[in-house]
Amino acid sequence: MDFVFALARSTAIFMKYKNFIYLLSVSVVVFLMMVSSSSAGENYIVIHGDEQYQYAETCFREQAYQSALTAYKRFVHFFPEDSRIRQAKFKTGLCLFHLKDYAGALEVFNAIALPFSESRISSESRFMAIQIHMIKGKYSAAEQMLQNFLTFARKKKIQDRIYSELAWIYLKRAGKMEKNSLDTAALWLDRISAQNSPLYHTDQIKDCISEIRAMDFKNPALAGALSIVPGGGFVYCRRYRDGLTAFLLNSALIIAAAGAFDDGNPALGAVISFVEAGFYSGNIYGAVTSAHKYNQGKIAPVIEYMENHFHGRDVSQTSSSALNYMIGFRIRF
Amino acid sequence: MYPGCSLYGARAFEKHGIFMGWVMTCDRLLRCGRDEINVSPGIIRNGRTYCHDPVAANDFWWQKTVH
Repeated sequence: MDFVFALARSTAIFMKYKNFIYLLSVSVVVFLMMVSSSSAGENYIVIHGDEQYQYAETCFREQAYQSALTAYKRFVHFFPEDSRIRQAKFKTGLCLFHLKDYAGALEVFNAIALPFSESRISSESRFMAIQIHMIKGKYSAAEQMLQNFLTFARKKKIQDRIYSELAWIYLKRAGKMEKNSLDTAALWLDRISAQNSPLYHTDQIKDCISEIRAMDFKNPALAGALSIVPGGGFVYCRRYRDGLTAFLLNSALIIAAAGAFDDGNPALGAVISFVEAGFYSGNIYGAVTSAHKYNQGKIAPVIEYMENHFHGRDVSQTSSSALNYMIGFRIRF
Repeated sequence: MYPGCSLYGARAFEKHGIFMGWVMTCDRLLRCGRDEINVSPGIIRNGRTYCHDPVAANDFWWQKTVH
């Protein structure tokens, strides 16, 4: 009986506040829908090509190369039709280069450089590939690539840069005492046009080459000849302690061998002579090597000075397009 | 000096054969620890600095590096 009474009372209350309850229910539903839609919106984000590329560029500028590499790769993957796709690929190579993954960078640059064109991206990729060869000490490969490049290059600016790089290969070789390298470097420098000559510091480099030529070098052949008297070649190369050691050791072994033969002990004499032959030859060999090292020690600082002051600076400063990031790094070999 | 004379000798024999290996080893024994220290660059091995004088630093003037 109580239940029936309560139900009737509830119905009466509901009827009385019907409009209010409807309004409350609708408000709750609308509120729940708004909450659910806003929380769902936080689960995804739409990134356009511009945003992705700008993010990659920012990472690259901040020298966060691993992040930049990932960002550029994403850009290349998700926006293959974008007009900046070649720049992004090139930057991928640059990131790998900065991360010292030279094999990976070389693969990227070679892929961009082919088929041949004289576009800025293609040319820069080729030059980057050449620089990687030089970093790895593969001068022949770098020279071969430059010579091939020269065959196809028609723009004077690119030709001059190729001449400059060829000259640098031979300057590097001169630093390693390869014969005629300085002369060959000077020949390549001569081929750079007068217009672009200041850009590549041709005159200053030629001055340094003249300075190297005027240096007081040691003659390796003379050093070897002077070593007929043990230690003479070392002394000529200003290695006085080595010279004294060579003289004393060789003298002692010669006297010992002679004494052994005089004492009727030819077996011992032969053994000592064998050892002495090695040290005598080593004395000559060491003197010749010392002369080369002496000369190398004089040339190397000049080459290093040129490298620090004249290589790869203004070349990059001339860049005016999106590739002017080249200003940002210099490559030491 | 790094490598040590014995290792240097082994590498010289390995690279240039018996005759030149023997000559280069004797040359190294003559130079070991004296004026070479003022000429060759340093190298850090196991926390210590050594004078770096490998075979390649002594045959560069007659042995072409193959790339």
